[in-house]
Amino acid sequence: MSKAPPEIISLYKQDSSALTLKWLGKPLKPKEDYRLVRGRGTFVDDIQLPRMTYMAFLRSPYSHARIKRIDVSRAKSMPGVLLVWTGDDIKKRMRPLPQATPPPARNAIDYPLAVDKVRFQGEPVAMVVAESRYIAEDAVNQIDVDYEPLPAVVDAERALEPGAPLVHEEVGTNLIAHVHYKWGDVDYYFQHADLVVEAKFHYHRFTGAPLETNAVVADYDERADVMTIYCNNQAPMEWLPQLSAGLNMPYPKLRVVTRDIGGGFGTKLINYVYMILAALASKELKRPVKYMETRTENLQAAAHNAERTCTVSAAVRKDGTVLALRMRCVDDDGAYSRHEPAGMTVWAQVSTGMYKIRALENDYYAVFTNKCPSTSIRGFSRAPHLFMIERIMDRIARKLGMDPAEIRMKNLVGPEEMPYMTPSGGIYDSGNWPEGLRRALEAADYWGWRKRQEELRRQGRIIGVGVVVGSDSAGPNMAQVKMYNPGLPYTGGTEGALVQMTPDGKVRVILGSSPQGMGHETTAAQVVADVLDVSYDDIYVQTGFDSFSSVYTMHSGTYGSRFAPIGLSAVYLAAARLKEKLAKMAAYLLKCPEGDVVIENGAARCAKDPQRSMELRRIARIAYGNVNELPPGMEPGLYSLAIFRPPFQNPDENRRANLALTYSYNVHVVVVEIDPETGMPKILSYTALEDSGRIVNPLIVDGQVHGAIAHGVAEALYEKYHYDEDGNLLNPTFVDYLAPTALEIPDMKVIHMETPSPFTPTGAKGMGEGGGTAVQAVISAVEDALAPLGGELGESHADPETILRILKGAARGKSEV
Amino acid sequence: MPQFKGSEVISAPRQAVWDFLTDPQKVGGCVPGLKSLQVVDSDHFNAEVQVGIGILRGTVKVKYEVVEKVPPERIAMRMDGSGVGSKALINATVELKEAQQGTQLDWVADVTVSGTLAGLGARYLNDIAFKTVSDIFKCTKEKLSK
Repeated sequence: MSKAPPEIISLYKQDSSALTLKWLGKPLKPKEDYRLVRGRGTFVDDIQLPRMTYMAFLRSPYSHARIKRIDVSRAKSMPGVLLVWTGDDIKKRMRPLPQATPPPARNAIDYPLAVDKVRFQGEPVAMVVAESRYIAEDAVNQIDVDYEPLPAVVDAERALEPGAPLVHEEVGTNLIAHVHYKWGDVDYYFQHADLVVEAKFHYHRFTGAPLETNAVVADYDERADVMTIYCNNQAPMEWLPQLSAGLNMPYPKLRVVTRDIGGGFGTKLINYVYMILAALASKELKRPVKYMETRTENLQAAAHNAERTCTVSAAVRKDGTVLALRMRCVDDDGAYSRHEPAGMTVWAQVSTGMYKIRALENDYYAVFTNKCPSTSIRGFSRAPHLFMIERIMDRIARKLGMDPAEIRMKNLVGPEEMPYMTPSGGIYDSGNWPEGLRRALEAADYWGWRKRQEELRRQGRIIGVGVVVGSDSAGPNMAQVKMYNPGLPYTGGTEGALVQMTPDGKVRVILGSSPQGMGHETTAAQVVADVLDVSYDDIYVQTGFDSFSSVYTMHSGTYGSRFAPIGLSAVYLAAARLKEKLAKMAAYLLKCPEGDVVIENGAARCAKDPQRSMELRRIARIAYGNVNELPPGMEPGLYSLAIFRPPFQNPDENRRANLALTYSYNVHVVVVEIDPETGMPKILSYTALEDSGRIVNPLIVDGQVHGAIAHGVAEALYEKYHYDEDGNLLNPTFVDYLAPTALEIPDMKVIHMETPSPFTPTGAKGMGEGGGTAVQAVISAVEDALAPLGGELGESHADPETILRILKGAARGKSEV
Repeated sequence: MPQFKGSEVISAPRQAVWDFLTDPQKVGGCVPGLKSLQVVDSDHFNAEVQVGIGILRGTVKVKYEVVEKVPPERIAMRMDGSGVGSKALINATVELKEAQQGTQLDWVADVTVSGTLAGLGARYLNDIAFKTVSDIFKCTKEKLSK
């Protein structure tokens, strides 16, 4: 609502004095790409162990049905079949998965294999482990299940109505959670507004469609009583309670390993169910068990984003000032709460968007439906929320006859108010948003396009221009879960790193993250090289995560755009401490006052006497082997471990808290032309401005911007799940779930601003998700094109059918939505 | 729930058509892609059928049941298929009328599909369901006309 109080700013402010700025910001070739572009990465399916066995699933054809009988006898008797389990077999071996939801939703019973009832199409009903995947699949076909189909609930608002079919009878309602948020005097602003603009929007269902689907190899070592799980989970340590409960094993006996991961986009968080099943089977058979999900299984049953429907009202002054928002939202979380309802709080990171909106009320519901369980797909919860705000901004502009760029400029938070505190307690760290908007408009030739749009419209062409300012809030404060379940013992947002100078003077780095293509080996090496002032080529970052050697916390992992703000901060801290230790050793060895020791270009020297210097590798050799030369009492070795802890706090009694560490921002300007015959929009021009604080590696930042635009354009124009009224997913293959190819993605102009974050030691901000700005910008442009014809889009997906309906409606002299 | 209809004129007496349709061995032999047939009794048989629809290929198990018989004019049957990650339920009614050239066979079928196949939607599925059911009666006609 105004500049954050000084005591908060000083609490968050980070020291960055160890930076040399010699290696940060350079477009260094990503270390991992050399193996990846040659097809030499190690993914889960590349892991081959002796005596490997293979798992396959029988999945439910129904979205909602009672399981009357399962006959596995024929499958069990097939040669090569080692194990056939149904829900009842799993129920005997484990407790139900822990539920993070408040009561009564907490009563939902969730097992990785369906027990008594199936609740979404594609839910695993039985599993087979066999000598080969072929045998396993053939055996799956020999399992007979008698189902009694039940009426399905596929509409979130209908799910809340009395008499709706219940997804979980033991819960007694389809409501997962309800939270009523109110920040600021909303009623006052609505009473004193010149006008109120209201609309209803739907954020549709899609997924991340990573190249590599979910996969796991579980290998139980009977002698050591250790379970090793090779997986591609994005945050394996976040699921320790689930794994430990599922396998009834203590954490030190659970070894979880990730190597290269072929994309995640949030879809690879809730694959812990497969990790548990493979591990239980491995423990039973005393043999390794591999599961590699097929593409159809992935699209149908792995992880979708939660759909969101919001009614949004804005209290507005005639001059375009937006005073307050009132919202009522319903999230459709699907059949099980395996990650959700986190989305009903995460949006509050960007509660009032980019604007000086003074007050906000949100009456928020999350519900179960008979659809695939949902998780945090790229832009999780914030993208749909910013979508709602950006759509209502466009509607307000149209109502007031203002240009969409002008109304945004009028309401944007200004640089003089940074760090800015939102009505919900969020602290936007830094940036100059109005300047970003100005530069993006200029780079896109926005006003030129507006003029051309007029001319082309007169020629009968349907042209639209969209402009959106968005935020990519990053590095989440997990205490946000307390907003719907105050009892959950899960807060903060930390990450660990170990930096070791080995006796040869090279540097080994171990991270707590499990990257899926974000280039952590590169950016971590750049930070270490920068702090220690050694060569980037001398830094070796361990690939992937291994709970038996990596430094981790329960927040560890790669999600929520957290590596740049939190992971790299841990790397910085570990490297800075190592540098201090090197300086102490050098002071003694060089007989130089500690304050005069300078570490530079791979050597330590005494500032007052440059002749006195020593290469770091000589110090390293002494530190490990020639230890009698070390200062008396000094601990040998050059290990440095750090865990970075942002100064997050729990939400107060009014649910106010800062829920993310950094806030990148971006401005996208899109021009579309709609083909009047097919209704298909074509992107004529795409410009994106990105400010993600200090850029660690511009190649990686640009790659993330390109990826976010590709994903967003596809969500807006191509990717959408269609369920019929019985809960059948109508497009579970790449034939009809339209993941984009390079042909669908427009050329894009990417420009940068660089406002370092004061809240991270490197100044870098997270920017891996893009905040959904591309979705919002494309929809904004399409609606801008259709607006003169009286058409408005109620959804985050504009397919040609909808557009044609609007065009035909206009031709008949009436508008349709 | 799509509904399909069709008619065939069979140059055989109505009783002969009736006898054919109520003999599981005979009508079962007309199921397209039949791999195996196991007759339970005069009103029930189980069959394994090879299907190939686009990318989906595999074996579907079909349970066939006669639910209503009004000799020699009306027979209602239920075919419950499962396989390739899907369930298909076909409820069909056949009416036999005396006609100039022999017997007129009119059929109506309601088809409910769940699972992976349902995802194929109207693009393929309607055609395939129609073809499967109409092939059974075309085959009936052919065998009786010989």
